[in-house]
Amino acid sequence: MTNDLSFWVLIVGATLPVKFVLLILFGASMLSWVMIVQRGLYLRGAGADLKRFESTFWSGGDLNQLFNDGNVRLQNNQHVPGVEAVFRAGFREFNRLNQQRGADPDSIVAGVERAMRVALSREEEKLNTHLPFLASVASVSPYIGLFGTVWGIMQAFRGLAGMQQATLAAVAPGIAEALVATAMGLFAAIPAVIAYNRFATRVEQVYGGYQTFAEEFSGILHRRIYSTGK
Amino acid sequence: MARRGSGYRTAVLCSALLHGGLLYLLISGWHPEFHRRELAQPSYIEATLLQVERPAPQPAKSAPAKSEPPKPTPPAPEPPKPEPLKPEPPKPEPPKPEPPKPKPAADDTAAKQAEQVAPEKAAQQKLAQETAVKEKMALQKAAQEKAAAEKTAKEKAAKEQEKAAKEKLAKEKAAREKAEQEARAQREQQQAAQQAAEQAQAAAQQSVSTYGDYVRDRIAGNWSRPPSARRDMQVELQIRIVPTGQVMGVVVTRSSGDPAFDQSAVSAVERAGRFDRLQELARKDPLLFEQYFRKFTLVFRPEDLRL
Repeated sequence: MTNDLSFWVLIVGATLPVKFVLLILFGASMLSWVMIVQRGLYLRGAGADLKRFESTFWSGGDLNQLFNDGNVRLQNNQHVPGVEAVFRAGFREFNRLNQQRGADPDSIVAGVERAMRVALSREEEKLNTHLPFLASVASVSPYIGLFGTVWGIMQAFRGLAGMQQATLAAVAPGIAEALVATAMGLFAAIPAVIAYNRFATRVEQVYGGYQTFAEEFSGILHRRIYSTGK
Repeated sequence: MARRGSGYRTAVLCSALLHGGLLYLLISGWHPEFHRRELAQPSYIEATLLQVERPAPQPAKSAPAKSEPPKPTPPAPEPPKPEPLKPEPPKPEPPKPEPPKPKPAADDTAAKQAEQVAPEKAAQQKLAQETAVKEKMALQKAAQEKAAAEKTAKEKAAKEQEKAAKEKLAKEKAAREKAEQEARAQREQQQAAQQAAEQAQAAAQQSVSTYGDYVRDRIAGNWSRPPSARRDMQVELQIRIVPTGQVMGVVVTRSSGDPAFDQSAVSAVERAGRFDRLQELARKDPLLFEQYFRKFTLVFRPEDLRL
């Protein structure tokens, strides 16, 4: 009897809606794992990039040199990290406005900040991609699994109603079969919940780092405008 | 750097590997819980909330007894029915004497008329008589015709009645045959059910007796004969056994009169302790176990044990 109740036999013997539910959950689990791994790698890379860029930025090198390095990397079609994109947007705007004669220092600072805000929001969007999908898998898949279970148990009890003697052996396989759906739902949901929470905090950290950098950079440019202006 | 593209590739690979592994485990029939479940089985479970359903034989016997009496009853109303049919045909006969009655009545009136007319005009008498005779004849003729018409009508009615009666009879006959057939089929079904029940009961009885012998053998094997035991002694024990085959209790219900012998029998049962084949029986046929071995009395007799 124990051989008859292996998971595979239960899944194959399930009714069509339960099978459908299992298929959906399996697909959701697969996709969410793709996103978990991809996001994990991406966010780890973003965090490392932020640290590396900040250390080179604060090492006292020339900003023009840093900007030109970035230009070369872009031409070679290489990866430019998020913080660097913010830096480049701000610096480009600063150079453009600075070259115009008679530009008001306050308007230059305001223009630089605006440019960096745009770059920041673009980077935030990149950091947050796929996270809503993980959130919806995390919250919805237990319900889908529960639906499969309820359906399966309904079928089991309907089958029981047709029998003369209501024994536990008559319902038990049906209920076990139905519970596979809940198990599958939880299997999909639990990693998604953990990953979502983890990645949300990681995104917040990285984005906070970007924002701090942007503030600091605009401070530096502000100082430079007023020192050259005088 | 090509890191972003490869990020997706590794992610897809990881996910596919993970789910492939899961599928493999499922298909290969991996189930780690079952070992633990076997370990968690308690040595015995006592559950007394079982209602033993007595097998069919008794209700089956009583059912035919109940259903047989009704069979004579349907034929009972049938014999009287042909009788009321016979009185009906004679009915047309009595009306025959009635038609002649109008004849004398017509005579009287004609005679009276003739008498009244006679003193006045003798010449007219003849005429009157002739007319009277004519009238009489006409009356007679009319009466005869009427009677004939009535007769034919009555005959017709009688024929119709007969026809209706015949149809009724045929219908009743068909109904009776149908009822008989149904009753016969029912009887056959009941007999088959009874036979099946009897067979089942016989099989149950047989297995009960084999298991009873097994229990007796086991107890005899564990019995050590006290010095005071005599051949004619017998003690009645009530033994309670749970579905694992474990003996839960032994009580002496009728003593042999020798406490040492009683005690030896009780300790023989206790020493036997567990009846593995009863456990098998409980697993195979719980109903039989509940009915005969959950709580049973055993007459322990040394002469059975070939002392």
